[in-house]
Amino acid sequence: MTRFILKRLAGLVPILFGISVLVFLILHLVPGDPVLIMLGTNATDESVRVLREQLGLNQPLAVQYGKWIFHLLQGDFGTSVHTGNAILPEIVQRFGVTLQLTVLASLIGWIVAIPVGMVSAVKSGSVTDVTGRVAALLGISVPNFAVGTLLLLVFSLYIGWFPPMDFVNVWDDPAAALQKLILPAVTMGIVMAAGVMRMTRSTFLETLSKDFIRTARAKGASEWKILFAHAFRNSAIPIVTIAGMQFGYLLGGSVIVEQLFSIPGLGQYILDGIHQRDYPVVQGGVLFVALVFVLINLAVDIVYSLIDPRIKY
Amino acid sequence: MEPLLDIRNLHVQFGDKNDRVTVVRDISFHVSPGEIVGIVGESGCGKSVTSMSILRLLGKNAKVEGEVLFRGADLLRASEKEMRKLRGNGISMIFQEPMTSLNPLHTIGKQIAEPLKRHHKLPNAEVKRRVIELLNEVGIPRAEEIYYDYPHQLSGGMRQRVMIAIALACEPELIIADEPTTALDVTIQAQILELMRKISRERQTSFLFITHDLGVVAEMCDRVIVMYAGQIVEHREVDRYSPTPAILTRPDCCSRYPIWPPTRNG
Repeated sequence: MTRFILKRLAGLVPILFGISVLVFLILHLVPGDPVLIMLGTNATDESVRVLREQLGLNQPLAVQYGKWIFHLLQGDFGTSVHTGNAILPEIVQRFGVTLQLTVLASLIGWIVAIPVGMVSAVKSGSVTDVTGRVAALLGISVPNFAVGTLLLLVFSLYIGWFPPMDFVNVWDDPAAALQKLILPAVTMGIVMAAGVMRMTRSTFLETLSKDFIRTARAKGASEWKILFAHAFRNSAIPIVTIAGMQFGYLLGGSVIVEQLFSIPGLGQYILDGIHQRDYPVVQGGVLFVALVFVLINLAVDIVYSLIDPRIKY
Repeated sequence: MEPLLDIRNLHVQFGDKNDRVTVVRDISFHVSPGEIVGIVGESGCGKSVTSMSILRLLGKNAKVEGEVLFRGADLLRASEKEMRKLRGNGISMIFQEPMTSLNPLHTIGKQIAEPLKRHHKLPNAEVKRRVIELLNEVGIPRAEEIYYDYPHQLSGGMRQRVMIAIALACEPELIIADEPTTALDVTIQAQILELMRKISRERQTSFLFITHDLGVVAEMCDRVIVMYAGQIVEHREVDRYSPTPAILTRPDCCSRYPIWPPTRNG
C-alpha cells in the first residue's frame, strides 16, 4: 500500500510537468498582451517596452518557462502581474473557499442522490422510480447557471431568505457562511446528485440481481439487511468513482456558480487571471488544480481497496 | 410416514396478464424425512423454478399456485415474515454457482454466521465456535484461518463446502440443492456428493436434489422425479442396477443427450 502511494506520487511529476508546459504554451499563444491590458490602449511605446522588460516578457519563451519552473520548484509561485500580490497565499486562501463550497455541495448531492437511487433501483419500474429518473434527467439537462439564476431570483430576491452578502469562512461565522453558501451549494449539488443518482440506480439494479443476493435471501435475511449489508458495499465502487471525480472537478473551482453568487473562490481567481492575461496567476492556479485533482483520484483509489478486499496494491 | 414436504398441483407462471407463460404445470410430489429425492430433466424444464418456488424466492413477476406443505403448513399462504423465519432455518438452499453465490466482500466466517445470528440470536463467541465447528464438519482444513478469508481466496470446491456449511448452520430439516455439483470438476463433485450423503445419513436431513446428471441421481437419490417441459413425466424409486429412467431410454429423448465418442457426421 505504502509502495503504491509512493509510486503514484512519483507519477505526479511527469503529469505536472506536462500540464505546466501545456498551460504555459497555450497561455502565451492566446492573443492579448498583459502589458497592453494594464497600460490601456493609449500607452506610449516606450512605457510598454519598459514594463515588458520589467516583467521579463521580452525574453524567449523557453527562458521564461525555465525561470518560472525554477522558482516554482522552490515553492515560489511568483506574484500577480496585475496586482503585484504573491500568488500562492491567494490560491490557498481561495482554495479554502472553494473547498467549503464543494464539500457542502457534495454533501447535499450525495444525501439526496444515494437514497433516491437506491429506492429507484429497489422499486424499479414503479412511479417512484420514474419520478426519480425524470428528476435526475432534469438535473443533468438543465445547465447550472439556469438553476443558479432561478434559485437566486426566488430565494434571494422574491422571498428574501438569502440576502446578498459578503463571503465569510465557515470557521469564522458558521451561520452566516451557511447562509451565503447554501444556494450555490444547492445549485452545484443538483447537478452532482443527478449523476450520482443515475449511477447508484444502475449499480444497485445490477447488484440486486447477483447470485449472492439470492443466497442472502435464502438465508432469511430481511430486505433492509440485503440492501445495506449485502448490496450497498458491493455497489459502492462505481458510485465512489463518479462521486470522487465530481468532487475533484468541483474543487478546481466552479467558475459559473462562483461568478453568479460572487463567491471569491479559485475558479473566479483563475478566470480573472485569464481576462487580464495574468500569466503567473493562471499557470500557478491551473497547476494547483491539477495537483488537487490527481490527489483526489489517488484518494479514490485508496478507498477502493478499503471497500473491496480483492483490490490490493 | 407423514411427508416433510408435500407439493400438490404446483403451477408456476411468468409474465403479466396479457403475456403469461406457464413454466411449471401441475406438479405433485413429496419428500419424506431423511429421504433424498432427485429431480432430473433437461435445461429449461422447470427444475430450478420448482425448487425456487418452494421458498418463494422467485421474482415478483412469477405467479405460483397450488400448495406447498411443509410440516403440514402451506408456504404459499404464509406471510413474508414467516417465510423469512423459515428460510435458512427449516429449509435451506445450496445453489449451482459457488463462484458467485457468496458475497465477495464478506469474510467466510461472517457469511456462515449470518443465518445463525438471524435465526438463533446466539452471542458472538458462541456463533464463532459454531462456525468453526461447521467448517470442520464440511471438511475445510485450517478452519480458524479460513474463517477470516474472503471467497476469492478459496477454490470452487471449497466455496461449495462453505455454501453447504451455510445451509447446515441452523440444522434445517430439508436442504434444497439446486445443481450443487454442476460447476465443479469430477473429483471435487464426488467429494461434495459424499459430504451431502454423510450429512443426510448422520443428521437425517432430507434433500431435494436438482440435477441433470443421471449418474449423480443413481449415486445419491432414493427416489427420482423426471421433468420434461414443466411436467413430471416419470416418478419412481431409484434402482441401483438400472438407474436410467424409462423415458430417457426412448429414442426421441436419448437423441437429446450428447453421445460419446462424437460421430464424425454429428
